[in-house]
Amino acid sequence: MAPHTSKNVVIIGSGIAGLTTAKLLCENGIKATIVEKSSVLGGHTRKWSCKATSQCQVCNRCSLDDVMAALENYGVQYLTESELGSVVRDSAGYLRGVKISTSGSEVAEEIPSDALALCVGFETYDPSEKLLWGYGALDGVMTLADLDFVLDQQRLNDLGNGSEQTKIAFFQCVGSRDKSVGANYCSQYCCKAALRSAVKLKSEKPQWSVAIFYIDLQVSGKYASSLLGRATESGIELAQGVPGEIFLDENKKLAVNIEKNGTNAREQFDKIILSVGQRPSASTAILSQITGVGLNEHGFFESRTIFDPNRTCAQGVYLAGACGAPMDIETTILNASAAASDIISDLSGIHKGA
Amino acid sequence: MESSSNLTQLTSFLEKIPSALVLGKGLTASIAVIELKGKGFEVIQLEFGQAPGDELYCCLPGFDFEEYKLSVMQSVGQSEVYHSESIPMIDRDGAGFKVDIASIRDRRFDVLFFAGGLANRPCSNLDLAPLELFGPETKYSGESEDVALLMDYPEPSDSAAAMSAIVYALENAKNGGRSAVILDNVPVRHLQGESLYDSAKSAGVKFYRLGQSNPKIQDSFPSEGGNRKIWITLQDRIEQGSDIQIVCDRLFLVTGPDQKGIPYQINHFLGADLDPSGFLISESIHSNTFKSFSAGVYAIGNFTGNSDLFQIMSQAKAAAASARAYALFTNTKSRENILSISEECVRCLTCYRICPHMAIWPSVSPSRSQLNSIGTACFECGICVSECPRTAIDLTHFPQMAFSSFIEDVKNQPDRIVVYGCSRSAGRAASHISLPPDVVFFSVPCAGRVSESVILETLSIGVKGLLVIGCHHGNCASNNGTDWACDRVETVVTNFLLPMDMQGKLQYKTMAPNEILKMEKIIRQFVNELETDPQTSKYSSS
Repeated sequence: MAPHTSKNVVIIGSGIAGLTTAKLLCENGIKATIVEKSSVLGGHTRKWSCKATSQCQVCNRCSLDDVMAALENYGVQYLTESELGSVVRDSAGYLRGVKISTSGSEVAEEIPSDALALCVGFETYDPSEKLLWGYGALDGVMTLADLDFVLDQQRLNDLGNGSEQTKIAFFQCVGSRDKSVGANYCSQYCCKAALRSAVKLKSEKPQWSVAIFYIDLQVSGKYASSLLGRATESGIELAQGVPGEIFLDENKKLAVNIEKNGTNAREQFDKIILSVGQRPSASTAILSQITGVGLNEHGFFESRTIFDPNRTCAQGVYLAGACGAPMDIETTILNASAAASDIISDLSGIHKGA
Repeated sequence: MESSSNLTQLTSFLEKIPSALVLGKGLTASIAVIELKGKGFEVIQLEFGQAPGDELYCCLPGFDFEEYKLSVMQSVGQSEVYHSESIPMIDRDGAGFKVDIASIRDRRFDVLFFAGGLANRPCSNLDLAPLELFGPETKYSGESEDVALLMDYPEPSDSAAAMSAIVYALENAKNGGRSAVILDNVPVRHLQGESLYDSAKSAGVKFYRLGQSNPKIQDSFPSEGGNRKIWITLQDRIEQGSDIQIVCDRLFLVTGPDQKGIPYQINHFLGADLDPSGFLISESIHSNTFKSFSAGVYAIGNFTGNSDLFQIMSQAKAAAASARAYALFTNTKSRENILSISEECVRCLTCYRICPHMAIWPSVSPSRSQLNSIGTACFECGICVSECPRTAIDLTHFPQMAFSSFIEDVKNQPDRIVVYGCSRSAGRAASHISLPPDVVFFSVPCAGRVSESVILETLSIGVKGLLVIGCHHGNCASNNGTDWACDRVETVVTNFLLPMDMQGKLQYKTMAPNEILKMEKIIRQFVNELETDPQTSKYSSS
């Protein structure tokens, strides 16, 4: 819709970060090429479910549909099943293009590019790494992503045991804030996701009992009070301390040991949902080599300075979303918009930049 | 740096230099000015009222706020700044804005930025003299002291403020002081948060998690010349058991921005663009963070409930880019005929009051005032069309005729079940599902376009049932279209259907665009209910 310049920006990754970056660039008259390694667009967000009861819980899942609808107005080029092969720089070192390799084709295609945005997102922690969680071994232990699939498929009854007394627990910080699994950071999205999912479960199945075991609830900010309020109103049990082990008791039911008032108590659950943390995407290492963007101690891309979170040390290369630090959808949209903003400033040359 | 031939390439596409008015003072306003200038805007800043500057926190240890402020002030450079006692009258001028301040009355602005600051909220539960609010200016003196920091009380603290407070506790502990942090949840909402918490713990900062009971605070002056001490008695949530007593010299309360400080004129101007806690909507739904529902109006910083310097920097960048897109759009597109207002208009101002996008604006003149539609600001939701008492308004792309001919069409088909669905949610999902044979789906721009008269007209042609589907409450792209639709359905059910015992014929449901299976379920359930409802089946077969 907006008049196009000759500028083109190549975006690696078609999750909410990549699409948001593309949207704001296009609205500002800059062309975008989106490179996606899988065959479908939308990244993690596409697989998540809407958490609204009839009241929106601001999970931002629908942002994906909105941004994709907005992009239909622009001639964005999508290259699926494709990956970044190399970057092309001129003699002065400025980014001039990228080479993209598409599966099934032997020759890498060169695309002129004035900026490159890395939007490769994250991977969820694989909880089967830690045997005590029982993921993959015990029936009924699932992840937040598995729960989203059930919610999306409208198959909530699958979670119940057929009776009214279904008990469901969320375990927070699975693979986050845990040095022993190499992730000494908070994954930022899981407390809100678990709380919203729990509220959704309680609204659909008020007679079920839902508990959230946590270390610290990371829900500060403008929506914190209302979210915590809804959780307590709907009767969700919030319990500090995450049990370390899930096992089958003598009745073949999922059980955990919980310390209550200094004594151990055993509690049974029908389903236990592990709130798995965010890990750097597997492609960050190779992309780091190709682009020259460094990785920080946690394996996420390193920004130029802490005050410049979307620019990198490599000229013309930008970061957006969870490949720079773990974040939820809302923060990703903000972060990716800021990345697009930096690119616009730098390409228009008004603002000094990379 | 780009070569000089490219320097003005992008900006030359704007027919004229876009202009922005930034309302507010402090760091937030300065950051907004820098970002807007960086996008080619001509910027004027308007400081208003006696309100305090902003309270922004940087949560990282070793951060020098003074140095940072200095660098911001240098980047702002020369800039046009005006002052006003209160927020002035703001008027739409086409897609842009005008303000009623003598020196800039004749200037027109493409976009408005609300970038004001708020004071931190005081604690409502504690009315105690020894309590100091922990602000961004609260600097650790370097002397070791016995200090306690109380946060998340009674409601969650701002996370950046809370992390800054932990930095304070850490520095004091490193200097041999005793630091106690009393909170509900340890804030680690930053990649470095966990290591900050770890180093605070290993430096000897004590963390106490508030239990069910409120902490008791006593201010005591020992009789014999000793120092004033503050006594805090509390129960730790984890180490349940006997009371814990903390004695300290200073007690800080860590809160967050106080929404009560947002001037009422802003609330009035932005209409209903407030989130449930009373902040301006800006970290909003619909992939439009930082943007208000009113086209061309942006809000960043404390006004949006945010105190985190990093996030506010991102907000300012994002909003500036979005503002540039808006200016580009309004300066290059003509959308004059999106909405028509006919001679039937009696200037009752209903449309002006209810338009969520500020796309209808009155022009006052002694001879004949009139209401104008602003095409580039209009989202074509049609809420105004539905509420206009004179049916004087119509949408060009979805005219009243569209409804009439649809209804005419359905009239000729017996026993139909009609579904009106919002194009954003149900409309998008509808193409992915197969509808039961009797069901006819009709996509409307927004559920808010389904007026009471449309509902009554549809019911009057003898349909078996009518289902209206909108987006979830609080998720409407036109802010309250879904609430309008829900209310109208309730009104019709209560006033018309209930007395005839036919309430089952009309329902309102909500869904999200990706809830395809849910839409199938909603429709299937509605159809089943109609079939099993003796009243409805009696009605439709007679």
